[in-house]
Amino acid sequence: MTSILEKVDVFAGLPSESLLELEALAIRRHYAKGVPVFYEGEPVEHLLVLIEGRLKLFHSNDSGREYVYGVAEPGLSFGGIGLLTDEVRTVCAEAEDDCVFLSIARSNFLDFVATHPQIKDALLAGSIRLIKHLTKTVSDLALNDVYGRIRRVFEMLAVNTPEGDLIEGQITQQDLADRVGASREMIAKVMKELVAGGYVETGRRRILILKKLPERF
Amino acid sequence: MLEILKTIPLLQGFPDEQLEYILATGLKRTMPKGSFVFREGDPAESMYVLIDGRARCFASDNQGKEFVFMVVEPGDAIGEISLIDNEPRGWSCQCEEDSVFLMFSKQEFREALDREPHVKELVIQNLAAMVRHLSTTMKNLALLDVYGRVRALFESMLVTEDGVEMVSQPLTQQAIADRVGSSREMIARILKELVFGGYIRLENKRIIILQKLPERF
Repeated sequence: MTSILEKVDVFAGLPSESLLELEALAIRRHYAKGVPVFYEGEPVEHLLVLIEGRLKLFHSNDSGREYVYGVAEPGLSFGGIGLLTDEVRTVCAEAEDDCVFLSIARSNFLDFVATHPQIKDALLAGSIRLIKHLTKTVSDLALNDVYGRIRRVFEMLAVNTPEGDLIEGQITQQDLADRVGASREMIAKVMKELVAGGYVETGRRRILILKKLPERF
Repeated sequence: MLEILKTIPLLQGFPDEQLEYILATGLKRTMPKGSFVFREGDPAESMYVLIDGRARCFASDNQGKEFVFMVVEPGDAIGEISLIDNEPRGWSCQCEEDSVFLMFSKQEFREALDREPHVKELVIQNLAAMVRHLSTTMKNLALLDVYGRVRALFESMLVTEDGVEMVSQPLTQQAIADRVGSSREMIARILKELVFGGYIRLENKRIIILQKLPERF
């Protein structure tokens, strides 16, 4: 018998028996699409393991503007480092689809870390990946213009198909604006130019990249 | 030297014998203002603890525009990430003043990390602090305008000397631009308006805050 936790970033390589025991202590939680899962600044009380659905990670300001910095897929966990260092959540999260989590309470997780100290190496590796991603994102925001950022988001989301690089799923101009940290109007302008230039083709729930996007706008 | 180590927040609570060990293992390196501790893309052989002086970590684009996303103060550790993930340096680090570092080789650091559980705790805490800092930087870049970022920078560096509120270090317009991800011209305009409005005064390269900066520009 194997535990679902074996496929999770921080638990990779740990013995099945221990993971099954930990899984038995976890509580399954369902979040409907659009429901907030945690807020920036909130104390971390649980390790949340995403096992189904996608989770939107974002920042927002007082006037309701959002900046979406990523959408997480199943197999990722949230709050491990926060529990270890007694920190608060550094971003907000909302269910992008209907989501299922395994929720592991603080004391259960900390007991597990005490008996399996090797998990700290996985947590270290995870925070390094996060730091590198954040460094790229902040440099991108500071040094690239809106067009350059759109290009990078397209490169991140596109999947290679025989037709060309394809971005599938419902992505509105507002979604793109929230992803690159710009206004919807600015995105509309850039997209219009890209379509006119024959670089991209937009359709229902899809954006097809026809040829390599230009370096500069 | 031992007394200096004791003032370092990262090393608080370490017994004397361990601090002596750190002093005996670390190599004292003095670097003049302007010299690079490491450059983006370099292979990594060591990590550093800043004892005296100041350094900045930055990313740059191929036109030489820089974004300073972190300032290294005495007591801060830098360069440990590449020793853990065995990747080249992800960014550059340059001395802003004449600086003194304790340098540890990759082998010494890895051995200490495996042997001393509290070294691992420190590294985890250090990385968690970096994640928090980068996350806030990202949020400010995406959701605040240039003025908002200048205001956030000044507020994060505020000190009171002889009853006068001021920004803790002298900053050139270019240095401000590099830290908030903007141009020198834009910063010049903002500072001029702030002086004109009686919010700040510039004196010997220092920025004196006369009254609370306005919410909006």
